[in-house]
Amino acid sequence: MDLLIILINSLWTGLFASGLGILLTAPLRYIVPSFLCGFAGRLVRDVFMGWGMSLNWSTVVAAAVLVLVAVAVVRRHSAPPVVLVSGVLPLGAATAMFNAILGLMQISSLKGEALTEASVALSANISKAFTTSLAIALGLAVGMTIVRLLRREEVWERV
Amino acid sequence: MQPVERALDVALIVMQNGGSTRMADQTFKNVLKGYKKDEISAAWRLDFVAASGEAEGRSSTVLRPVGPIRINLLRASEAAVLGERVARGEVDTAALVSEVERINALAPPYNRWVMMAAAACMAAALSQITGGDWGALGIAIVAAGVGQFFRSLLQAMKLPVAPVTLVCGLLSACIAGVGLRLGLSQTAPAILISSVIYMIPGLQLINGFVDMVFHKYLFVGLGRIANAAFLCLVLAVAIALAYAVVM
Repeated sequence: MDLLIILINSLWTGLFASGLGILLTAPLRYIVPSFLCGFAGRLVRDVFMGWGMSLNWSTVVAAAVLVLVAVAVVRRHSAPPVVLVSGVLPLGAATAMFNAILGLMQISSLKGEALTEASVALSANISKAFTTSLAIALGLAVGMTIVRLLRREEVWERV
Repeated sequence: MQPVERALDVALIVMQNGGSTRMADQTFKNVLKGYKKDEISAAWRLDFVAASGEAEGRSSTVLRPVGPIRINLLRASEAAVLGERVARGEVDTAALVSEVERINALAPPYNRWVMMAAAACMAAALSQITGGDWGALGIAIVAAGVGQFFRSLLQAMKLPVAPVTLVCGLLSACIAGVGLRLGLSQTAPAILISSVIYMIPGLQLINGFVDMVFHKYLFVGLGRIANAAFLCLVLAVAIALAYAVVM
């Protein structure tokens, strides 16, 4: 496990999350929390993967931690959806999703060995995109449940 | 039915500016609470909302079109806050019309150049996260920045989302393809995906999932997710076209 690489990737992810926050017209006060959520999510996922946990379970843990970070850093200790959106999207399988769609478009024109290879790659990409999205949803639900149990109240704030 | 009309005015701001259906419905109920009318319910869809209740002893239904859904979370947030204040009695219901006008006049919090910089930052970050080299970083910044600039121009002309996504996706992917063709980078997948990532329909996806979690809005949620999937497909078509043209 190379901590420096993990840290650099986490910083890039934080930058991605804050950029996404701006593109989603999140109020200015949510940009730093978006950065921190993106950073923490990626850091936790990479560290857990470094410890031998699978990508999907690491993503579950990262998404749950991300909710806790959002609740901790946002004023009034709520979890604004826009911060969560900005934080979790970099954890998603964007590359796998795009590759799957591109594969779907190419597969109709292939034959023989190439068709077999493309089919395997397509099903792998679809399953990766699906399981990662599911892992994110599960992690967010776990994080929300933890916060609700701790505070016994609603955490979804407006925006 | 005037209270319902006013409540729909506020709730539709949430819906039209990127808020979830649950948030819009909550705002609708909050405003009605300010009017001391709790027995009215609304059925939400992506194309219209129907609210029914009793007025002057008769059952009445109000139908309102939702219209195009854009992203301005500042307005959505302000409308939700307004709903809460009305429910708490902090804002008089007579002031609702002027408040709605004020919120509708709110400009997005960031100007075109800040949005361009944000898109460039996102693209640069993703190019590095997905294993791109420094050449990929430079290409992604230019492709996403230029694409976002044209996107804001096209959005100002109130064009539909899908053609804007296709045109800007094509432009960004072509710029990325030219960069690859010139040999500035050797990491093609990282560049092509990073160059169009600023148009990923993330908010629609998450709103869709949020709506589905609250079972009452299941079909609206499914509609949002289908919309997001369609936009992803449009982006993939743009990448494939650019790849075929440039490479």
